[in-house]
Formats: sequence, C-alpha cells, structure tokens
Amino acid sequence: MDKSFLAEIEQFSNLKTALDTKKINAHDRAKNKLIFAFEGGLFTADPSTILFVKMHDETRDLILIDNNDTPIKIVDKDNFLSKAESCYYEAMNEYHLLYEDLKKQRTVKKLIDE
Amino acid sequence: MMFAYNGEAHDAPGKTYAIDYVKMAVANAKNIKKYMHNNSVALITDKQSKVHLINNGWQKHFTHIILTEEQSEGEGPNTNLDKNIRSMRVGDKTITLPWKNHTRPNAYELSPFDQTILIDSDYFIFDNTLETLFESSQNILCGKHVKEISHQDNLIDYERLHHQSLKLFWATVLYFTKSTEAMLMFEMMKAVKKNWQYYSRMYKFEGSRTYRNDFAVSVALHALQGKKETTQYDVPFTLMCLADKNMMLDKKAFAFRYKDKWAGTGFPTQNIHIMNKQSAMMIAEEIINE
Repeated sequence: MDKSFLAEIEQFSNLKTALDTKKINAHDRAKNKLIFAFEGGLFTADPSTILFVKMHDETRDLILIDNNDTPIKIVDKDNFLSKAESCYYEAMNEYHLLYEDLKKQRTVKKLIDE
Repeated sequence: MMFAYNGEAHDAPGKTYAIDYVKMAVANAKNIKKYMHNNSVALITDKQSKVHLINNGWQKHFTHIILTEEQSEGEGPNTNLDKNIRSMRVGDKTITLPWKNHTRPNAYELSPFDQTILIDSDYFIFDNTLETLFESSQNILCGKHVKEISHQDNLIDYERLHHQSLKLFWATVLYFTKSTEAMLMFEMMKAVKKNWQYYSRMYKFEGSRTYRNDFAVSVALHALQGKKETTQYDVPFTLMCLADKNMMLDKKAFAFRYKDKWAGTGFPTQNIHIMNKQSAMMIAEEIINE
C-alpha cells in the first residue's frame, strides 16, 4: 500500500483525535455549567426539566427530584425557570461558539494555540 | 480549604525534585478570589511550609493559615509517615515521594468555616461551578464523577476501589457543613486510617500500599449510606483531571500519550485536577505570575 497514503491517514487520525478530545472537554464543561442550586437542591438545567416546569399545572404542587435524589418543592416557579434558562443558554451558547470554531481547525498546532 | 505540605521526591537515579504544594495552594487561592464570590481560603500546613509561605510573601492570599504537623497513627506501613510513599510521573520520569496526607481526616476540627469546600491543592479553580455547592442543603457532597481529559483510558480505578468493591469517591472535592453527619464521616475516616489493613482487606484495596483519603472517604460514605449505593453524597459535577502520565502545556492546552507517541490539543479552560506534579507546579507559576 502507498506509504504516503498511510501517512495522510495517520495525520488525519491525529487531527481527528485532537479535535474530538477538545470537543468532549468542551461538552463536559457545558454539562457542568448546566448545574444550578435552588431551594437547597442541585438541578441540571436540561430541556426536559425546563419544559416540564413551563408546562406544569399551576393548581398542583411542583415537586422535582434533584441530582442527589432529594425531592424539592418549587414554590417560585418563575425564579426556578429564570435560573434554569440562564444556565442553559449560557452553557449552550458558549459550547456552540467553541464547536463552530473547532469546525474550522485544520491543524493540531492551531488547536493547541487557540 | 486546602492542605499543603511541601516535600521532596526522588527518581530512580536518586535525583531530587522539590514538590511545592504551597505554591499550588497559593495559585489556587488567587484563582478562587478571581472566580468565586465565597472566597475565604484556609490553608492547613506545617511550620516548615509556613516559613516558605512567609519568605515569598504569599500569606496575603489566605484568610486563615492553620498549623498542624503530620503524625503517625495506627499500624502497618501505610500509617507510618516514613513508609507512606507513592510513585508517580513528573514529566516523563517516575518519582517516589512521601505522601503527606494523614491530617486530612482532621479537616472537620480544623475548618474555621460553617460550610467548607475542601479541595486538593492540585485541583485548580478556573470557574465558579463549585459555588453552587454552598447553596445545597446537603451536609456532605463528595467528588464522584471523574473524567481524564485525554479520554484515552476508561479505568475501573476511577470508578471503584476494586472491580468487586465499593464505588470510589474522590476526596479531591469534598463539601461539608459543621454537622453531626459530617463529623461522623470524618470520625469514620479516622477509624479507616487507624485500621487501614483491616479495611483494605475487607474492601479489597490491599494492593494499595499507600494510605489514600479517597479510599477512606469512600468507606466512610458507604457506611453512612447504610452500606448501600446511593447518589445522595455525589457532587453532581464531573471533575476533570489530567493523569500523571500526561502533561499540561499551559492552562489552555495539554499533551497526552496516543499510540505510544505524544499528541496534543487545546483545553477549554475549566476546573482541573492536575495529577502530573511538574505540570501542576508549572500552572501554579503561570497563575502566580499573571
């Protein structure tokens, strides 16, 4: 097999590994930024939680299970949503920007430098 | 709150390396002030390290400096300070260093705060995510989810004390309040330390020749949970870490072993546990000089 072809594959695989590693770490950072505290509970601001709270029937008590399996009564629904949404949009906007930037990276050196 | 006892490490040819945990703690204290609102920092250290702190004019970074000396307690090599040593990488060399971690179970008495986040001095703070822990109603939260930033290995060692044993908590980040629950956890850690050989056989970590706070806190939290596995004490964040075999290039990039060669990539800045001591000292220097 053509040696230069194999070298090209190797070079691509190295760049892909460097890119993927940076993407995974950016994703982990975004996931960590989704966590917020409310009424003593720790929650993840994921789309299903945000949607469930938005759609919740006002006539019923809103109890949510937090990340440590503790049931927390959410009295101030608007404040909860405000915190959850700001965490969500901040984390996702930052992740999206970084991801878009990574799409343009063509060398490992640039990945390290920028 | 952080613990920092400086020490000397040696490699196989006998070359000596100074491991400056105090410098790491200073860099961290500086970053805590920069990134977090709840930013009173206590340093637990010994007389010798305090002199080093004062000589460099670094004491201003701490709200409390608490002196305590390492003491042997219990039976067996793991509880003897001179024999409690650990091997790890510094750059591309393997070094052996005394593992001065025996006072960590005294954190409850030593902490001047009602709510404390106890972190390793090599867990570098680069954002405010940990702030959330102060708003939790839990009395104890301990690091549970850990990822190595090169994502090359998927080690059971990061998840359990042994593949047939308890889930591993990482004492790297440990939040506690002044409460009976937290006091019991630290008392249990002391009991594990004192009876290290007994617990190491019971929970199958006798292969570890070093006393480890991660193991002691795992056994203690397992006991507090009624010897069941729950998520009630888990810090919900993922703790990112750099394995000692890999190296930071600066705070935004690192090099890692890939197909028996060195590879590198960028790192979106965030809190990180830097286990490679040379890299930890280099990052500390970078932060102090900012």
